[in-house]
Amino acid sequence: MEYFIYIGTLIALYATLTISLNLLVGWTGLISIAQAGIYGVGAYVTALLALHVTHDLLISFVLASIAGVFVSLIVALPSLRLRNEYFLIATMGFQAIIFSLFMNLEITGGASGLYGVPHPTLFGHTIRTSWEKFLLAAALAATCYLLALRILKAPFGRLLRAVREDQTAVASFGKSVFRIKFSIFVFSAVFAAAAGTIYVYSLTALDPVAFALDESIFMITLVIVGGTGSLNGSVLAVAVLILLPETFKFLAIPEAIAPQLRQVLYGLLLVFFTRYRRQGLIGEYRDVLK
Amino acid sequence: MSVFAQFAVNGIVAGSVYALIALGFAMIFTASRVFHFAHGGVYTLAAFAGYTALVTFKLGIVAGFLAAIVVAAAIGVLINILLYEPMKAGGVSPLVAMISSFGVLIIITHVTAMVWGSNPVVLSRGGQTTVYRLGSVYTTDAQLTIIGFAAALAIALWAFFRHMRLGIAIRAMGNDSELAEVVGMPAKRLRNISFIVGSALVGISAMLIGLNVGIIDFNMGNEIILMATVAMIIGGLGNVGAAAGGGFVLGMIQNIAIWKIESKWQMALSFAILIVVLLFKPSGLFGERRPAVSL
Repeated sequence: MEYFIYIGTLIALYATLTISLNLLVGWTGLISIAQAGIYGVGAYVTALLALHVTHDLLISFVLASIAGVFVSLIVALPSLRLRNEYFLIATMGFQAIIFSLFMNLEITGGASGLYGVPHPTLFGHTIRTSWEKFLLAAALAATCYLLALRILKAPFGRLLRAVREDQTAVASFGKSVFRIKFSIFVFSAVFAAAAGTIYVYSLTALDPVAFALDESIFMITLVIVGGTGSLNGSVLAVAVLILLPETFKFLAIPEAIAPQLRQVLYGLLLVFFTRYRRQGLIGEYRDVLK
Repeated sequence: MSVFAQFAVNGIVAGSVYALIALGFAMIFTASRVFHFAHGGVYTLAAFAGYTALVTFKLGIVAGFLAAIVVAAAIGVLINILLYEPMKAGGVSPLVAMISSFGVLIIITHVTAMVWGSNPVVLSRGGQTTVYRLGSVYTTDAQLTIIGFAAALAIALWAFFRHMRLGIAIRAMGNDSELAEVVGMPAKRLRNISFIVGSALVGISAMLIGLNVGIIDFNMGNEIILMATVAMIIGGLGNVGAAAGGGFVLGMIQNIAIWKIESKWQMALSFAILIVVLLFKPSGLFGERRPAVSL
């Protein structure tokens, strides 16, 4: 049972990350690979707060989100001036810099990360069991899903799609393309950072590897496999890509090669979907990746 | 002063390493406009092919280099034929090909780990290199070979792209593939040639660098392809000589920075330079004033 709760928490966590990234990639056409870095900033802020100051859940969420916004400002302000490949490379640069800070600063605990994080408290109640933590992760994922749905149905959602299809046209109607892109980038960062809070409290520890460049590419894989511009697709892709490698445990694949095999599988899916099925599993917009 | 000289020599060695990788990477970019990140995977695989010939089967150094070159060229051109060409034919942008390339890099890296194991292996035994001393500066024959190769290849490729018909044709095709085909250039074949030559170069580089460092592992291509990307962009896109120059500059900056900044910050420093160049001088340090690719 504990195992299923763990998998469920993982799925909820990645659903939050993937939906928030899909808002950038699928709706606005911004392929960012700094998402794992921003997720990590949320996680480190939460862990350091919990270790040294407070493990109140709400305060953690608020401060992690503020940190996420702050970092997303630093990433977005320069990167958003660039387009296509160059935007991707700039965000990759920030991802590498953020990860290097995680690995090399004194306060972040270097390569061994941080551990012994206390359980969070919510209105005086200590959230101790994994079941409660799963509910927490699921609640964040649901909030992210519903807010994303709300935004996409609103006029602002149409603006995002318009930016994706034709920036010049949007600009010619007197809208600031930069401001639109910037707003969605910050929104996405808030949820990525909040997911970081959930990560830390679920594990009561933190491993910097979870915030490396590979993770950012994995999140892009999730978005593409699910379908750029599809919220349900993102959730489905997360479920499939997290459950699939778990079957290795039942297929008697040696422990030593199972993690490698999982990466090969993810790589193959990324190549397959970018090559043969760019709309993803259930994406509606065929032309997002063109 | 002697410390500075040693840092400068180290910088030239590191710079030559980046230049070697950036050369093939830039050649492929010039021809196809794809950021071919899988190049890092080709590099790793070539090193292990060389290792298999040299250490496992003890076929000698020439066979080691040959194995690395052949495997690299074959994998490189296969990636183009099976992946990039059909995507290009389907009207898919180089941006998507670039994302796909990440997937190929992941596949090659982890297949290598499955076949050869995830622990580093020894490519060359220690004690074989000769150390030279010039005043207070030390260098080895392996390092001098790398510097020599990088300089010779940079000059040769620069001349190739400037003065030879084939090189000029490849550049023209990189600029406008359709136009090149309209005037009768065999665009596909030119791209394939670029992938073969660019990948063969990374095969040589993999062996040179592997022999210099002594050990190789499945992850070796990941960091170096990032550095090659930085080198190519700070040097100037769409120009092979500029990419090599970018590699030299990057290596020099990293090593001279050790004076003031701990070496663990090299990666972050390199990417900070990349972002600054992208924002303020997108044509690169040595590129033509008008960038080859509009940002």
